[in-house]
Amino acid sequence: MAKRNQERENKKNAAGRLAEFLAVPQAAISAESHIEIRGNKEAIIEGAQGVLEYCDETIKISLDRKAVKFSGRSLNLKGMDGDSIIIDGFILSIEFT
Amino acid sequence: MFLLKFIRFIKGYISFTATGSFIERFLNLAAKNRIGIWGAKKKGETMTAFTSAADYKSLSAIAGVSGTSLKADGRHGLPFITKRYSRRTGVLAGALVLALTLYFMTKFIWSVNITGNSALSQEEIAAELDSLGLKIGAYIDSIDFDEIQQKALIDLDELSWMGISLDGTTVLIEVRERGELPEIIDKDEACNIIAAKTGLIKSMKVFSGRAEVSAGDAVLKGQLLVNSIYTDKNGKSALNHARAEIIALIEEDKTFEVNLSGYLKDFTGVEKDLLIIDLFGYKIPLGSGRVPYERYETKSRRKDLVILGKTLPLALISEQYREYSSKPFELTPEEAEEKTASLVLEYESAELSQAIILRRDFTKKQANGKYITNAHYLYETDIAREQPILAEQIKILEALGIYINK
Repeated sequence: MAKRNQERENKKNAAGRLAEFLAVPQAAISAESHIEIRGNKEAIIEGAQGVLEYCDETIKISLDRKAVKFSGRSLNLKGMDGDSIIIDGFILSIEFT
Repeated sequence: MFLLKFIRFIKGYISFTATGSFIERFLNLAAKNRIGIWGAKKKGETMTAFTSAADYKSLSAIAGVSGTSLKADGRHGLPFITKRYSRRTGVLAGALVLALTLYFMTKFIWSVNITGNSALSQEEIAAELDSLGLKIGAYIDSIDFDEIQQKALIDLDELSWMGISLDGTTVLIEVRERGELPEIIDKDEACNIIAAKTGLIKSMKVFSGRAEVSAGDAVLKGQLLVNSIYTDKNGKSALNHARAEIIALIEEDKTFEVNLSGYLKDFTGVEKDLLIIDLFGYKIPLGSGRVPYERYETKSRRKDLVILGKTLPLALISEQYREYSSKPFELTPEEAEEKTASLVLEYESAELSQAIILRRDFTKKQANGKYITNAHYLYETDIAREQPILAEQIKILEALGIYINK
């Protein structure tokens, strides 16, 4: 298990080094999740693994090996398709766990 | 976003309510199965959202696995609308018949608009075109517009040019008549000066351009008198708006004819009115279409039905028939002479109003029941006529290094 984690870590580091070498954003090359925020009204999450928690005030999304929690008011899932999720509402905070 | 909404409408979508304690699990399973969900709103244990019509069945199975109950609230989009109306065959058949009728009707001429005529009436031009097959109700694909244009120009001597174009179901006919006044050319536009008549140049005043003839020269009608191309002080050729006053002596013959006997229309005062509906060129009289007079004159007024600026192939024609009897008349040579004098006066005031008449000789004779007067005129007038230079010609001149002086 530890060996597999180590291999994955090495792969990620290699992608990071290649991105640095090509002077492009790391997200363009690596398979890591990508979050885009428009003001505090909308967030687009790509590479989501699933919804862990969903209510009016909190939406918690599972990412690769972590999770991101959006807190706010009137939060909704505007769209959900495969590994992409769009959240809208009044986002007050974003927290990685 | 509009495109996405349009695609969803075309494919059809369902609004649903999911109720249960494991909504998150339900959403995750849907995402895992690549089922798109949008517009989700959650209140407590109830969530409302939308999914495509094709995915709803799969979503029902997922709801069962995740312990969520699913209820379809509404079906939206084209597949459901089509399904809803598929049982109403009458509506569908009506829509189909309407579409086919509209398509069929666009294959026929709905209206004919004639512009640019003054000496010839619209009725005369329309009658000629009618005889050639171009009329309201004619099948568009069967009409050879070029052939009709050529034949109409041959038949109607008064016309010098005709343009026929088709705008949907309306035929637009633009005509130019012979003997029309020359168009006034903008002073910034390049033009030559040509001879309006054949004659002998008496005097010349050239205001701009290069003179090609001089006083004492005999010139023919249409001959170039002043060239718009001239050489400026730098030795460069330029094109400008030629202006000149060229007075020439003109000799001209004109014949005036008056009938010594014939028939005059004597209206009896008896009239008949008739309303006619014109539908696609078919005339339906509202009443008896028979005119009970032996000799009569017809006055016709047509009112086309126009909706939103589009002339429809439906018109109301009101016709008035006025009875007359033929009254014979005979003129004495003195009366014929008097009538000729008024014709001469009419001609001179219309055609020679700008000329100074130096001499007029008349020879008179009677032949074939007519009083014929041959007039020989000698007059002087300005024969300078501006002739525009076409865009194509300007392009060629520019290619030769001649610039336009404005």
